[in-house]
Amino acid sequence: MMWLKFALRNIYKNRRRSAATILAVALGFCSISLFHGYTQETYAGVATSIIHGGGVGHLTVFKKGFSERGRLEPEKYLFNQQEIKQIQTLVNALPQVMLATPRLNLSGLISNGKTSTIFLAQGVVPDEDKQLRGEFISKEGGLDSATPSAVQMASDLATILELEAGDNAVIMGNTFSGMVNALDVDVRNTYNTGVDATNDKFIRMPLAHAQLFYDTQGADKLVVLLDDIQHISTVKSQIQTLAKQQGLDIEIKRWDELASFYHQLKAMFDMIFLFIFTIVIVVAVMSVINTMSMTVMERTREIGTLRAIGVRRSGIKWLFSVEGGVLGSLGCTLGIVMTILIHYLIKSMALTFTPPSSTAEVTLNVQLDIGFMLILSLLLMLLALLSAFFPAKRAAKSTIVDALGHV
Amino acid sequence: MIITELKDVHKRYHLGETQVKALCGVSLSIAEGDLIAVWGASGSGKSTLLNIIGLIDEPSSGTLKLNGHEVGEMPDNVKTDLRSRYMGFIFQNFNLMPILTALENVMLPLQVQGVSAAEAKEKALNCLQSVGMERFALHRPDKLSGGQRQRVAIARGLVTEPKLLICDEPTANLDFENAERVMDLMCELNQKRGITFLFSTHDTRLIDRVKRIVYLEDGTIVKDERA
Ligand SMILES: Nc1ncnc2c1ncn2[C@@H]1O[C@H](COP(=O)(O)OP(=O)(O)OP(=O)(O)O)[C@@H](O)[C@H]1O
Ligand SMILES: [Mg+2]
Repeated sequence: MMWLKFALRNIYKNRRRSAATILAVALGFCSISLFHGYTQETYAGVATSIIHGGGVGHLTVFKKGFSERGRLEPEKYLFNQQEIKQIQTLVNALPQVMLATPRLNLSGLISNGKTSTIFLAQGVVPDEDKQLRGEFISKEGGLDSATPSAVQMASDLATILELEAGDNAVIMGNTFSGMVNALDVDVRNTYNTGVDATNDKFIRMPLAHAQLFYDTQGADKLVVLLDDIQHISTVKSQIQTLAKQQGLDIEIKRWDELASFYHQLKAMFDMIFLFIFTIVIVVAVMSVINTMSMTVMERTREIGTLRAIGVRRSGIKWLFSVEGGVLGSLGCTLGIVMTILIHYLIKSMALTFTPPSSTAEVTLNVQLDIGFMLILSLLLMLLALLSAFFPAKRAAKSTIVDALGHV
Repeated sequence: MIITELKDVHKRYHLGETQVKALCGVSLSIAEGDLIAVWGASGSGKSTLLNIIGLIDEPSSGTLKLNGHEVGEMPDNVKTDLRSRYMGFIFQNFNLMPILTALENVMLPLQVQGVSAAEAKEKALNCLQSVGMERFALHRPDKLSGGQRQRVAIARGLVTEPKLLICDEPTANLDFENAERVMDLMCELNQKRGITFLFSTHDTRLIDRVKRIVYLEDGTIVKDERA
C-alpha cells in the first residue's frame, strides 16, 4: 500500500517521462489489439463467406471413400434417392441442424456454338440453396426449380463465351453409364465467385438438370447447415453415431477441411500477427525498461536512505516493481480506451477494401475482443513489472554506503 | 548499559592496486545516554566509523557487538531489522524523500516496521512537535529551509525511539546559526529524554558542550575525552 503511494507520486513527479512511457505502452497495446481484432474479423468473414457465400455449409456428408476415389469413379460413391432421404431424416432430427441439402457436381465442356471450354458445375436444390446462402444470394435472384435449365454462370466464363443473361449454350459430357450426353442451358444471370481461379469455370444449376446430365437420381453429397458455427464438432459426432447405428457408411467433412485456403490464410495472418506482436511488445517494454532504469539510477540515494532506515532488499524491489506495474497498467488502460475509440471510428467511416485473391469489396471491420485485451493487459503489466524488477534488484544488491553516495 | 562495543576494528578499501586504510584498530564502546562527538579532519575515517556502528557497512576485521550480541556474519535481513529497531540516522544532506510531506517522511520508519498509519501519524506528529516543526507537517522538503529539513530528519530519526541516533556531519550543510540550533536540539533531547547520540563533525565550535569527544586521526582514535 505504502509502495503504491510512492509509485503514484513518483510517476506524477516525473509526469513528462511517465506520460511518454504510458503512451508507448498504450500505442503498443492499441496496435496489437486492433490488429488482433482485424485478424479475428477476417477469419470470421472468410468463414462466413465460405460457409454461406461459397455454399460449403458447415458439414458435408459423403459416402465413405469419396474423398480418395470419388473423382475417378464418381458413380460408385453416389447416394441414391433412398439414401438421401434416410440421411436427411436422420440429420434433420438434430435440433442444431437447419438444413441438409443434396448436391451433385459435374464437369464437361460448354459451347456457345462457336467455341467451347471446360466447365465445373454444381447442381443444387434451388430453394434450399437460397436458405443456405442467405444474404449472399445475388441481387438478380437465385435458381428456380420451375425452370431447371436456367443456370447461373460465373462472370469470367460468360465473358469468355461471349454470353449474356438470356443467351443459351450447350453442355456436353458422359453419363455415368458412359453415353455421350448434351443439354441446353439458359444463362439466367452471371455472378462473381470471388476467386479468380474459379470465376472462369463455374456454373450453378438446379439439381434436377445436373441429374439429367449424368442420367441419375442420386447426389454425391449432402450439405448440412447448422444454427451456429460453434456446434460443428458436437453435430459431426452425433451424425456419425446415428449413421453407424443405421448401418450407413459415410464420411463427414467440416467446412474448413474442404477449404484448405482458410488454413493457409489463417497461418499467414497468424505469422504476421506474431511478427508485429513481437516487435511492438519489445518496443513498449524497452520504453518501460529505459524509464525504470533511469528512475532507479536517479533514486540511488533514496534507496540507500530507505535501506538505512530499515527497508529490506525485497522492499526496494517491491517499490520499483509496483511503479513499473502501475506504469504498465496505466498504459494498458489508455490502450483499451484508444482501441475502443478507434474501433468505433473505423465502424463509423465504413472503409472498404479488396482482399487478396478476391474480386469483391469488403468493409474494413475490427472486432473488439475483450478477453484478448484482458490477457494482453495482464501480459504487458507483468512485463512492465519485470522491467522495473531487474534494475531494482541490482540497486538493492549494492551496498548501502555506495548507494548513499560515498558518504 | 553498553549499546555498542567495537574491538580492534579495521576497515580497508581497495582502490585498484592500492589499499586505503580507513580505520586501523579502533576500539570504542557507547553507553546509553551518551552524547558523543567524533571529531577529525576530512578523510580521518569519521564516516567509516559511523557507518560500521550503524550497521550499514562492515568492518574488514575486528568485532562489533550490539546489545552484547556479535553482529559479524548476520544475514542482511537481520541487520536491516536491527537497524530499523535500534538505530536512527541523520545524514549530512538530510536525505528526506522528496515526494513525501514532512509528516509522511517522519511516519516512514514506523510504517516500514509495520505500524499502522494512524499510530504512525500520531507518533510522527509528536516528534515533529519536539523538534518544533509541527506547523510544517504538510510541507514537502523542497519547501523547507536547510535547518528545517534537518529538524524533520531528526524527527524521522527519533520516531522509532532508537537506542542510538547516528548523525554523520548533521550540521555540515547548515550555516552556523542553524547548526547551533540543531546542536541545541540534540543536547536537549539527550538531557531531557536520555537519547543516545553519536555524531561526527569537523567544526570545533560545536563540540564544547558535548559530554564526550572522540578524536580521530588517520583511522585511529588519538584521544577519547570526557567532559
Ligand atoms: N567507498 C570507498 N572506497 C574507497 N575509499 C574510501 C571509501 N570510503 C572512504 N574511503 C577512504 O577512506 C578514508 C576515510 O574516509 P571517511 O569518509 O570515513 O572520512 P571522513 O572522516 O568521513 O571524511 P569527511 O570529513 O571528508 O567526510 C578516506 O581516505 C577515504 O578516501
Ligand atoms: Mg564523512
